[in-house]
Amino acid sequence: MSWSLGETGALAQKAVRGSGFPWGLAEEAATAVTWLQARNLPGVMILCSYLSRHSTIGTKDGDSSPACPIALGCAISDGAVNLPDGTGECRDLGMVHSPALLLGVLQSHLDGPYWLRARGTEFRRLATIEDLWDAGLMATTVHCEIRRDQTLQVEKSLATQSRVSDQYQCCIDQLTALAHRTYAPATSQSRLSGAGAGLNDND
Amino acid sequence: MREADQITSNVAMNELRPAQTVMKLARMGSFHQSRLSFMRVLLRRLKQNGWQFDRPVFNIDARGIGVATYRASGPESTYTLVAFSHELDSSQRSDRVIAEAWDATFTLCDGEVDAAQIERLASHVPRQEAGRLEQSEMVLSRANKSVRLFSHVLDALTRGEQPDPEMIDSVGYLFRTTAVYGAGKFGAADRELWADRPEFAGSFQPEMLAVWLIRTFSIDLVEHLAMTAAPDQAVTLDRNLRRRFGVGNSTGLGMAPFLINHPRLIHSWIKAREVALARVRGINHASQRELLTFRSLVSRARQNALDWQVDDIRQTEKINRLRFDFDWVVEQAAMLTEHDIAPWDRLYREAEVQLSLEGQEALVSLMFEPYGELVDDLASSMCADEATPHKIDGSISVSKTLDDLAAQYNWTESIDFASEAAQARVWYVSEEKLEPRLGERFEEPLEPYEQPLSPGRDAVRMYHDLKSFSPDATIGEFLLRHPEHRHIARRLQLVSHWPYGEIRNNTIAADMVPIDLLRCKLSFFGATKFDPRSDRWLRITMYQGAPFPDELQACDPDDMAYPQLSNGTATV
Repeated sequence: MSWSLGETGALAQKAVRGSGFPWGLAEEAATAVTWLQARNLPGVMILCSYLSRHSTIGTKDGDSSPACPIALGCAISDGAVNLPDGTGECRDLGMVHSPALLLGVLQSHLDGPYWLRARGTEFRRLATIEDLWDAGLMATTVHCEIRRDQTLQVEKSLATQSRVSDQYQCCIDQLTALAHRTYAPATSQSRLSGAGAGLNDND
Repeated sequence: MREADQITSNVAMNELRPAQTVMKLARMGSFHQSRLSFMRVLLRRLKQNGWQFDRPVFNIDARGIGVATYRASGPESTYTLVAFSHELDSSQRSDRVIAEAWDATFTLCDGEVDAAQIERLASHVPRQEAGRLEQSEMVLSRANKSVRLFSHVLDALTRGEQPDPEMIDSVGYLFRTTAVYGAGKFGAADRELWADRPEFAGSFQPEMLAVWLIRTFSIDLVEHLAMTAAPDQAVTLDRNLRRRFGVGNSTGLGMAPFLINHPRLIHSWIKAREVALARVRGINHASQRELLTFRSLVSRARQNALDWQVDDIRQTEKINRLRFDFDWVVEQAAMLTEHDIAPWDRLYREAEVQLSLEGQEALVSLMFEPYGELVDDLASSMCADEATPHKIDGSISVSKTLDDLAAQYNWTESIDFASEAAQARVWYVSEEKLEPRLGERFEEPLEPYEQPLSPGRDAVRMYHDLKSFSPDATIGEFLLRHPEHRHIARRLQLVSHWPYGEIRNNTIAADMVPIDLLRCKLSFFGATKFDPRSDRWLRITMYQGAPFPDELQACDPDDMAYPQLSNGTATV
């Protein structure tokens, strides 16, 4: 069994919303997940990991708390957080939860060649999950830096995957459970508000 | 080809009807099928490119249970509809999303299918939403019988007789689909994987192909059952009678959010229609042949309106007025001559004064009919790349955003969103098979589950927060402080570029009529005989009058949308 990228994105969006995020941020997270999965990077697993911890870590409260990767990625993408201007320039992003999710949010939106790393590792080109580990980006929470480069950190040619394989079944199940929080409980009154309620279709 | 001097100018945006006029629910709920409707686009293309059709498998038993396949073979691709026919207890027959069994279930596959694939599909397709498709499948659908018409036709054919035409016309179909899922749903192939195939340029073409083949299956099934019951006596349907059968469709609230959730795509549909209208209005002189075609089709459309019977009071009033409107259109059409200057523009301007919205939009569709060469190319533009995310331009200032809000959402100025009536409804999804529903905000605890389907209210909320923000700040800085507005901020930027993507009415108002949304989308599919069953679902007929696969090359698929007149009048 496998999942289409489209349904995976829709599931991710609902799971993020079900975790308490506004719809707009949920949309960005869904885009990040499908962007990563299309490049055979484990977007579903990364989101699942972050959301499973989100209920306990909450959102950033004050400058000293680690940043939410979705909110920070949006802020950078929107220009509300400055990016380094010149090639080779680096900017400290502070502590960030699930930095691989930040990578997905940034890379799915930024036009320029920006590279991300965990402080203390090398900036490296990313093609596999092993590369994400080596760049420190699979950490749960880590100090991140971003640098402007001349080339892309994740090559466009890597976008070859059109399915999410069944190795992610467990993550899909967890996201499905979170998505379920966006569905209203079944009640008899609710049932009557569905289209076609109370009518006989044996015509 | 049309003479160049017959077209006064290239179409510019300022020659199109503005979004503020077109994107009103009352008008959208009055749209009619046209040359740009997806069913017509599909059949034109299949005919033009010489597609071939056959039925490689038909293993249906005497009770009507089994599997059949229908193959469509084109210049570069092959598609196969796999149809599973079931026995269904009448207590289980429901058109609602929450149904769990159907008379027949279907999937459209990419390419040929073999026995192994059919075996895999047999354990998934009959379960519909509970099953899983693979990338080799494109569409998932199911259908229920019209029990009374199916029984009537079966009885008649078994006796060696033809069914009653009036009975056929009163229902219009043997099967009605209750869902047609595509584009990545339940594991099916994502749209991006096949969107660049020439046969699927535009929108919903695989879904339209599946429904067309389902129509053929419904006829084959009833003829097969008759032949099995009385092999020495039974007959097949008369060819002309057969064409009176379409495919029914029950459509509920699930289709309504689609129109709100896909602003770029909806813009492409509406804009194509508006460009077509502007092109036709831009014609300097109509030829005698074009006028004859128009007059003929106006008469047939009027007949269609006379035949259109529904129980719904609101739609009945609209139909009554439409019949009156057609009298006026017929009268005007008779007076048009090839010497008139800008005849279509003049006719449309007068219609805006004289006709109801239902009549105006029927006229718009009819005005396209003589001008395939001018209009049909727009069909390929009726699509959008929705896989590429729309990045918010965070550098836009708060003051510019306020200006954009004023331009796109000025219609909210007359709405008091503090009133209960203005926000009476809640769009939500039920945990019962994820059925989309519309609830009452002040009667049920549904607000925590509200879907983002109220752009007007959300725009007003953002407006109030923007007003207390520095006008020189950027929208990026604003969204850092107010992430709850991110959805509507993106939407505002989208509809500022694609203005036909936004409905200019309050979609959560107490008096909002959801079926107006449904009808708009269904008109683009090419549906006819809109039959509202309540304010939130309706039945329609698809492909009624259309050629079947075995006669496509000999018929004009565009000569199907309006009934033939009893005196034999047809398209010129």
